[in-house]
Amino acid sequence: MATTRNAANQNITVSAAGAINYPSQPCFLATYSASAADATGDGTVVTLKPDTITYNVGSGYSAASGIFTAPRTGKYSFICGVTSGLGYFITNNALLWKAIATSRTFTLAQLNPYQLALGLANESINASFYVDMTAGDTLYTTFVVTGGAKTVDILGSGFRTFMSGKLEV
Amino acid sequence: MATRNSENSYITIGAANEINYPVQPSFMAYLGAQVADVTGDATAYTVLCDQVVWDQAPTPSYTAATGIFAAPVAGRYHFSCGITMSSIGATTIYFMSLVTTGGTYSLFQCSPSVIAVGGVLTVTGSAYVNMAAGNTAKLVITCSGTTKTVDIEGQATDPITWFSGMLAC
Repeated sequence: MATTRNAANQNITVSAAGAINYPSQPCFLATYSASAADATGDGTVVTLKPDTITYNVGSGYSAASGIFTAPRTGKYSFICGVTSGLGYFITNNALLWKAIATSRTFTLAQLNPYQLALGLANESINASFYVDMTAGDTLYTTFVVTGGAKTVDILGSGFRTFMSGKLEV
Repeated sequence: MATRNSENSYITIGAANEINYPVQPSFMAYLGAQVADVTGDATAYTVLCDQVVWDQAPTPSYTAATGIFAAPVAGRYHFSCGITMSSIGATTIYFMSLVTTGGTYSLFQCSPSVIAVGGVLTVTGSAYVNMAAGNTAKLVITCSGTTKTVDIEGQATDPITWFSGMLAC
């Protein structure tokens, strides 16, 4: 008979067909429940704070601060997305999206948002990366658009602006 | 602490202690040839990746005919995908989304005509998705601003449009 449980605990569960889950593996997924209006556009650096938590195993993510704190040392994967806009102006010529970890800072996107959106629509960008983290290390993301007035929104509802991560190894 | 599964091969550990999960639910498929005139007029087109490289699950979980992945067990899944489209023409809005039972992820949204190269544009995206057994996910592209003249590009040997996923934890 196939073993379907780790004899000592249930941190690894194996289905009868062999599918493996790690119910206690640190991981999280959070999204903006609503849009944050007029967040940037004038050079204001926004710390993204997805406030609706889909799951938060290990309680590493804080919706209040937008900061993930590694509950355990290891290599983590992160997947993030940002939807912004309600229309860009032609003067909005620079967008910079970063993930700031204790160990290093990742530049996730650096582009001309007006050209990407052509001023007509919202725009969504997506990024994934691995980070080496010691227990207690943190990671958060920042988003800034420059060149115009403070009229650029961070768009919410559904999974338009989200942040997620998982301890891999 | 158990480091080996003694009764089956759902977890295999190599001589150098590297670990595989040979029957972990996962799949990877790509589009084998161009599909012409699928969107451009705001049609939401589900990408049908017909070349299945692997579909490693107790039972096939990805259906090439529908482009739909159905989760064989509950858990958090990691999806990665990319779309190459052509004949962009006057398309003003491009929206690549991962449509799941639990919500729609905005993976990439832009005005493609400006940033395309020779009328061709490739973008990629990733997401973690919380799924119950039987929940589904599919890759959808929606272009608007022109007529139904936008193509999705595929190649027989190399993935330039693809959809993949695996049970992460």
